[in-house]
Amino acid sequence: MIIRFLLTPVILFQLVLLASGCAFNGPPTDDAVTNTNDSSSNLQDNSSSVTSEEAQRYVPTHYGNTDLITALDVTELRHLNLVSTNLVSVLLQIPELEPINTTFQITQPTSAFGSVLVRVMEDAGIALQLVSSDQGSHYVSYGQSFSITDTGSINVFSVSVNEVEISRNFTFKSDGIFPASLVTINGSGFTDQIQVDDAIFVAQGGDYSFVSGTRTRDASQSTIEEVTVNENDRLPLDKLPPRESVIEEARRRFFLSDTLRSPPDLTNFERYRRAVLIFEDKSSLMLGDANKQSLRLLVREFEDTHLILVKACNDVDGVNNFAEDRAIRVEEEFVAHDVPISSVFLAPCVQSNYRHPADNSPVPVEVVHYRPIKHQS
Amino acid sequence: MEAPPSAQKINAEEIMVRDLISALQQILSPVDTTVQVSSSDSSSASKLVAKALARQGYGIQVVRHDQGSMLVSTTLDSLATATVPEAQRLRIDIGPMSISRTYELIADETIQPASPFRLFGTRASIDIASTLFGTKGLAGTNVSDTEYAAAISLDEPLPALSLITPDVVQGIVNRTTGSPALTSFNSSQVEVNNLFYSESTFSSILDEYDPVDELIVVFPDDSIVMGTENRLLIRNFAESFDENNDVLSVVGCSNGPTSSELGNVGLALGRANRVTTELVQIGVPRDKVLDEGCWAPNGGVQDFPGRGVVLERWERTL
Repeated sequence: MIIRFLLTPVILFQLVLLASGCAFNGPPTDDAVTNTNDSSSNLQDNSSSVTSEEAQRYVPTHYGNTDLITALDVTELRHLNLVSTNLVSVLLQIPELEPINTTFQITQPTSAFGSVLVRVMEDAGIALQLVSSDQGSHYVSYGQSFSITDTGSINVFSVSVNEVEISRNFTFKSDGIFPASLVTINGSGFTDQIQVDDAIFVAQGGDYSFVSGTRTRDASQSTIEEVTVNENDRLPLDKLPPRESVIEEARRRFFLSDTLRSPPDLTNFERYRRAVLIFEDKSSLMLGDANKQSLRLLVREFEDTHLILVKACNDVDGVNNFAEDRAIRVEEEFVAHDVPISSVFLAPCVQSNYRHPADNSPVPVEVVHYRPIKHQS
Repeated sequence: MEAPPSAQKINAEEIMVRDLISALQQILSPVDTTVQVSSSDSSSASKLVAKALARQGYGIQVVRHDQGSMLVSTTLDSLATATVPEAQRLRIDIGPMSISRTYELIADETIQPASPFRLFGTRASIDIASTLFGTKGLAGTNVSDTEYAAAISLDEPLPALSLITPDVVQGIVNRTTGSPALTSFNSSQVEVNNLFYSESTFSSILDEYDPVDELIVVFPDDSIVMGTENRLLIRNFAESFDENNDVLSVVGCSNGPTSSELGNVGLALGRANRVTTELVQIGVPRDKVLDEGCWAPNGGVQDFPGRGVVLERWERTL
């Protein structure tokens, strides 16, 4: 455990617990400077121990240490889950990291925050590789720190990969944990395009308001909105939005915004090949062996200068979330076969009327492989 | 709901998993390989495989559907044969390749190999001595070799990969009745050019390779039957294939008058298909075989045989 003091006009002290095996005990009292293990007084009193079933939701599937989780109570774990989900949903949208297509290196978690964070990363579909120390091209480090300021006690949680660091302040209000700052993102040129989904905090209920959005360390901020939490927003603990929905939405945003960031100019390209992949029904995202095999063969002829256009949406109203998900699923598969994300584009939804909304028969996704036009010299 | 496995069963499964992984890591380097494991795959063998892969240092990506180029799937079957009354076969599929082995369960809670390693969809070699059991196996069983086989054949038809280049589209429009097709579909449903008229569909791939070896397989007149001798020739030819550096070009030909119902195009691509199937059956990865054809109702093509297949091994240019 590393304890350090920082002197600023308002900050009295700061306790830094950097991925050091410390349990997450919420904001400590003044005594915490010397004894951080007895520091849970500001947490709700109605905490209960973790059942083994619930613990399994927070233990990393492949790198887990159940003891780190069962040492905490349910409320603390749920707070860590909210924080980790929040940070990972931002991490998923950082274009420089290409988190969908990158293997991140981690060491065995030794703290509860580390465990929950790694579990959320696993659930987010981020590829993780266990290393013995800070090896690898995308090593993940993370930390939590606590400070008391003139405006109250603040917990800072952060996660960083290479030059990219994501951090946010959190505070405790009644029995919930809430953001106390914008999400600070350093090392990305796309901070203003990252969207933060803070609905999971609202569902805790209470009487509080906080700011939602992103900023860089030098305060060139993106859009900010104020989020107000009312007692009416409170959902039973077992009805809180699952982290999967937040993560899935972040993944969608990553793929969709990637196409918007750099829409393809097909002027200098010609169509080369076309394939129609068939999904079993309109809600299925299973590609199946045959589609996967064809895609593998299609990729065989792909070169760095080529483009892939995925046309999944052809619907009555020109909008279709299922179709968008299928398109993303196909793009994911191309990316998994080492086609750069920047070379795969999702075609916009085209209004059509050939398919009845209730029709649940197999659904086609068209893939068109473009290559540069060879100009005659 | 699956009944909880007994301690003995888990122990045996762990050993089988460790054995297969000890062979697998000779084929796929843990440092450079990330595999996908499905979150819905909850069998004890699957979990053991995922944990073992993670422990060995493979990158692990948890997926909800069937994402990824290296999706892992684990199958554990109970077998009973005349010589091995209680045996289990563990098979791990990773992307386009698979590895499996059969083990005999012995009463004192130990197991031993009852078969060689079987590799599917790869021609990679394994140093058996470096695996968990080494060359030690069931008495009388030779486990020092590796058997090679085709990856699982698909039940469903492959989607077609059509050519839609302007010249192909224009050529189809201009084609007059009776002239040979300019393109057709190969054994993987990839549309390929007729080499009688055009350059290879795969020329962009072959740009990075040099031809280093060639075999011409001659077929009987109007036939796609390959014969035992040709099969042996092909198997010998494939011995030198290195899947990390080579691709195999297969050009099936039928040039000249034919009375076969298949026509020239059917004969040409059917012959290419036969050779491709033979290569795949001995473990050559399907995507490393570039099969296409050359067909015309009249002969006289200098570079290609009238009724044969040109099989070439191309080595990656350094």
